[in-house]
Amino acid sequence: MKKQHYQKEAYLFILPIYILFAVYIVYPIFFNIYHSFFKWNGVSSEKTFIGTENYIRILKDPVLLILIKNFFIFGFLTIVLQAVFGIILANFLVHGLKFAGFYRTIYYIPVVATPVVIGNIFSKIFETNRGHLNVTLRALGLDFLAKQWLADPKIALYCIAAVNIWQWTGYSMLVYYANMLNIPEDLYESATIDGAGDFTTFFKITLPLCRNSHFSLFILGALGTLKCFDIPYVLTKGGPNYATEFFSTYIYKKSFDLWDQGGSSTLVVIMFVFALIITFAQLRVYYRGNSEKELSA
Amino acid sequence: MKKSLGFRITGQIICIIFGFFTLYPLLLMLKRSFDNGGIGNYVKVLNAVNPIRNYLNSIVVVGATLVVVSIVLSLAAYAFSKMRFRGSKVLYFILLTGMMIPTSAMIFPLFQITKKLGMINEFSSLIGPYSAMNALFNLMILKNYYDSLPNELIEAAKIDGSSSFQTFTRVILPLSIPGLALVLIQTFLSAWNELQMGMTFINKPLKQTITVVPLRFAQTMQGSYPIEVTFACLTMTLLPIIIFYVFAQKFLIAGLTAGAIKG
Repeated sequence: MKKQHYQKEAYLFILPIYILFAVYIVYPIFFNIYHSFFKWNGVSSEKTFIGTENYIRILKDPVLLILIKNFFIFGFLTIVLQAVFGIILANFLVHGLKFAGFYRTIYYIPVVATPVVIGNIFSKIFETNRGHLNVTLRALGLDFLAKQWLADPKIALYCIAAVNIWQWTGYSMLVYYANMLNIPEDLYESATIDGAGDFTTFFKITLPLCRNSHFSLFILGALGTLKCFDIPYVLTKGGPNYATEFFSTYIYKKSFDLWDQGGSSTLVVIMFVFALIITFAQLRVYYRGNSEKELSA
Repeated sequence: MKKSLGFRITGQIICIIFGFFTLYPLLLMLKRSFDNGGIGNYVKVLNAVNPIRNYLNSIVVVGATLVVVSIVLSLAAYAFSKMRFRGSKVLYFILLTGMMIPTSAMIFPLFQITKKLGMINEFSSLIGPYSAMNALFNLMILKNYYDSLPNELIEAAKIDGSSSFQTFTRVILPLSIPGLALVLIQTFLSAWNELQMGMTFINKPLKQTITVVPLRFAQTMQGSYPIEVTFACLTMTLLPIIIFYVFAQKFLIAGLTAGAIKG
C-alpha cells in the first residue's frame, strides 16, 4: 500500500482558475441573489429593501408563464429534432459512405458560424414582404403558405426553433458519430449473420448503445435553451408581444431596457433553480438507468 | 463492413439533401451580396462601417483570451489530473458547475464592476469573462486528456529530481499539445462569436469586436443602402471564422471524435 502523499503546491496550480471562477461566476451569482430582494433600477444609488416582493411580482408576471412555456416547447423541439437528424446522419456517415468526410465538414459549418450573422440571414429569409421564403413560395404558386413568419405570435417561436435546429444538428451528428465509432463492428456482423436488416441493427444495436450521447445532448440542449440569446435577439427581440421571449432575452431586457434590476435578478435566481432542477433530475434518471443496466447485464 | 447498395443510395440522397439545406442560407447570403453592384457592395460596407478595425479588435481580444486560457487551464487540468491534494474532487466538481451558468446571469453584475472600474470600452472587460467561461467550459476536456497520459513519465521526472512545476513545463506541456489545441480552437470559436457582452461592455464603434458590426450596420446604415449591402456586411463578418474553420476543421473534428466529448 502506498503512503498518502499530498502535494500542497497543487493549490497554486488551481489558484488562477479559482480567481476567474470567483470573479466571473460566484460574484455575479451572489450579486443577483442579493439584489433580488431590492427595488432598484440598476442605475441610481438608491436601493430599497423589499423582501420577497420581487418574487411575488415576477411569479404573477404573465411573461414568466410564456418563458416557461417557451422553454419547454423550444427545448423539446430542438433537442428531439436535432437528435433525430443527427443520429440519422451519423448512422450513414459512420458506415463508410462515400464522401463521408466531406459531408461531416459541411454539417459542422453552422455550429461554428457566428450566431449574429445566422440570425441576420434568417431574418432576411423570413421577412414577410420581400423575404426569400415567401418570394419562393409565391413563385411556386403556394401563396397560401406564405406567412408573416416572425410577426405572427403563433409561429415565430417555431421559426426560431427551426434556425436553432439548422445550427446545431451538426453538433448532434458529431456527438453520435464519435459514439458510434466506439461500437464494436462485430456486433453488427453477428447481427447481420443472424439475418437482421439495417433497420433492426439500428434500433437494436446503435440506438441503445448511443445512450450516453442521448443524455449528454439532452443536458446540453436544455442548458442551451436557458442560454439561448443571440438568435431570438436578432430575429424578434423577444416579440411579437413576448411570444418569443426566453429567460436570457427577458433578463437582458429587464436590466438594460426596462430598468428593473430587482426583477432581472429575481429572474436570474429563478433560472438558476430551473437549471439546478434539470441537471439534478437528469442525473438521477441517468444513474438509475445505469444501475438497472448493470443489474440486467 | 460493407453496407447494402440500398443503404448506400439512401444515404447519399439524405446526406445530399441535408447538405443542401445546410449550405443554402450561407450560399444565398454570398450570392445576394454580389447582386446589383458586385464587389461595389463590399466597398460600400467598408465606407459605411469600416470593419477592418473591428477585425483587429477581435483578434486582440481573442488572442489575449487564448493566452490566459492556455495558462490557467493547463495548470488546473494538470493539478486535477495528476496531483494528489486534499479536496481535489470537490474542488473539481465545484468548477464544473460554472459550465451551466448562462451569460445573461453574469452580464449585469459584470457590467456594474466594469463601469465602476472605468473599464467600459476596454478590451479587458471582455478578455476576463471570455477567459473564465472558456477555461471552465473546457476544464473537463483537458483533464480527460491529461488522464490519458501515462503517469510513469511523471514518476520518472520526479526521480530525476524535477519539481512539480518543472515536471509540468518540461514533460506534460509538450505532450499536451493535441489536447490543448482542441481546447484552444473551441475557445477561439466561442470568444470570436460572442455577442452579448461584446455589445454591452463596449459601445465605441472603433473599439467593438466584429460580431457587433452587423447590429451597428442594421441600426445606423440599413435604411440608406439596398439589402445586398447588408448581405455583403454579413459575409464580411462571417468570413474570418469560415477561413479559420477551413484550416482548423481537421484538427477540431479529429479532436472531438477522439472521445473528448464525454457524457
